[in-house]
Amino acid sequence: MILRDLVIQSAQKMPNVLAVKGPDTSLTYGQLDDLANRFAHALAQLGVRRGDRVGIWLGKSARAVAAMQGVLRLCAIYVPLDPLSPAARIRTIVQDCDMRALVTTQQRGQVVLTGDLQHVACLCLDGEGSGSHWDNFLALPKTEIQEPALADDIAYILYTSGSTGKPKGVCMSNRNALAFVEWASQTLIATATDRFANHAPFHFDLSVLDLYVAFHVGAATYLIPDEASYISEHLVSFLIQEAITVWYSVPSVLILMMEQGGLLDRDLVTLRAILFAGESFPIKHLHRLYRHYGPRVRFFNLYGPTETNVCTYYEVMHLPESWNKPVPIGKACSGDRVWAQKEDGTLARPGEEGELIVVGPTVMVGYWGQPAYGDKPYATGDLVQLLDDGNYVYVGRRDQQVKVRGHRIELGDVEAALEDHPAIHEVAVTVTGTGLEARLVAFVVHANGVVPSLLEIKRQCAERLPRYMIVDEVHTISALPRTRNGKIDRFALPCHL
Amino acid sequence: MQRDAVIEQLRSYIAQDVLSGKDIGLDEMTPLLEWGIINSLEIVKLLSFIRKQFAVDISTDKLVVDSFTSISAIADLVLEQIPAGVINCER
Repeated sequence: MILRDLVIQSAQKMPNVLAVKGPDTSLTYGQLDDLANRFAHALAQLGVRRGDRVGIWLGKSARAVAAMQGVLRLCAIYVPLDPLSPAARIRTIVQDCDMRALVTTQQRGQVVLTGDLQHVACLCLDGEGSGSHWDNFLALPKTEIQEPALADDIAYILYTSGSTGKPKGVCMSNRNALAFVEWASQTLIATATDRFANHAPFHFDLSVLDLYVAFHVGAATYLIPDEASYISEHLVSFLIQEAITVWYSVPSVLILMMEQGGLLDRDLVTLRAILFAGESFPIKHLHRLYRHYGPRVRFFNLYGPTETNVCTYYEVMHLPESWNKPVPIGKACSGDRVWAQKEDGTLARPGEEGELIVVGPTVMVGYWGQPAYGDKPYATGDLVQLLDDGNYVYVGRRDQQVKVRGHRIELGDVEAALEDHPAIHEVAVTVTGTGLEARLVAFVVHANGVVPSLLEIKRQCAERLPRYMIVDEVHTISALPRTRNGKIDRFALPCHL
Repeated sequence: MQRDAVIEQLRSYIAQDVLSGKDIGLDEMTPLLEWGIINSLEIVKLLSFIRKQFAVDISTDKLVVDSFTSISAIADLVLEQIPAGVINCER
């Protein structure tokens, strides 16, 4: 079995059951299947062949889901792109993976596919005239189209930030994705009666669970567009209205729904599982949520960088009031093996700390444009402690990577992007606050009396970095604080606030 | 005139609350998403500002990327929700 078979099989078994409800339209499995075939025909006409990369730059919608499935039917590779990202950032990704086609709107296509990208084909869903209009699109044949594909073929690429601002495409094969999807379906005991909320954007790996576990069991997924993803009252009423049974998001969003959306004033009777990942859930807030919903609702803490997808998990079975540390990230899952390696290269024993290493079926094929990763163990860069019961607890990072609302950020990448600016002599970036209050703050030493405005700095970031790496605040200082060995002293930076 | 007033209030809110009040060169056509000025968290704060300032609620089906591309686009969104001549432009 490969990834695209999940929709195809559910469409055969239950063509009239709802598959996905988006802000644009709702699709049954039968309709999603037809639409995916139409996308495949349209893309094949544009010259897309096996192994070609196809970008999907659309607002979150049922049509975008169908486009992803259409790409898979050609045994091509889909690349979900942030709908809120600026054109300059999208261009670097189109170039990096040498895209064959881009599915987007006419206006966006015109902005991005210029100059040396004119050869990239554009499938516009909203254009005028022949070929591109939605009605013309619906006139395409819906006959089945399935290019031969193998389990090890790449299914999709998720872009994260790479060193010095160059985008890094994490390639996931059918095998990688299915190992996780099958594990998650079993662990959740997911069925066709489930109703999944999809909060995470498609370019963020959390969305793989919402979409594909639902497809696997013939359940429905309800899409939350990015623009509405932090509007707490909307989120809580959405949960009630759509009678959601499985919710998966970063902890910040759950906290927001508790604080401002009235999540704890209601009793969401349909909800049966809450999953969270991407950052530690502050225990004080987890207690509040668990007191209200647990243990009737199952709680899961999932862990894994994009490169390995979810490789460990912990189910919160009970949460004694005295528990005052973050809950563990748990034990290996998805068929993976994990261990903690100490500085000296030996295995951490219970009570000891080390770097978490992962090997197994969910570990990526590799980064696009780099040699295949092979079966090598993947070093996560995360420090963990092994507990007596075999669970791991997240301790911190080995490097300067930080997390803001579940997105990982290399501070050095933000600094490199800003150092490009002619008016900036030196810069150091740090994070203040946690959870929803987390802000990226830049400390700038200017070059020659010209102080760049926050507007300019944001623009500089937006053109070079993913959206979640755009600086929120800028402070001008005369010199960066240094440690005794000359390194930038990040801990001393907040003193300059 | 009314449209100008809405634009000016939105502009001054974004300049002060999002861009720390130090910024010059922000106008109604500045590409807010392209230049990384507005993100999904800022949209939430902006909606609550609009609710307070103009006493209008933006319905969730209007919450699409295109509505936030510029101050001008946001002003259109606000003006659609209020009957002509009713707006209170006091600061």
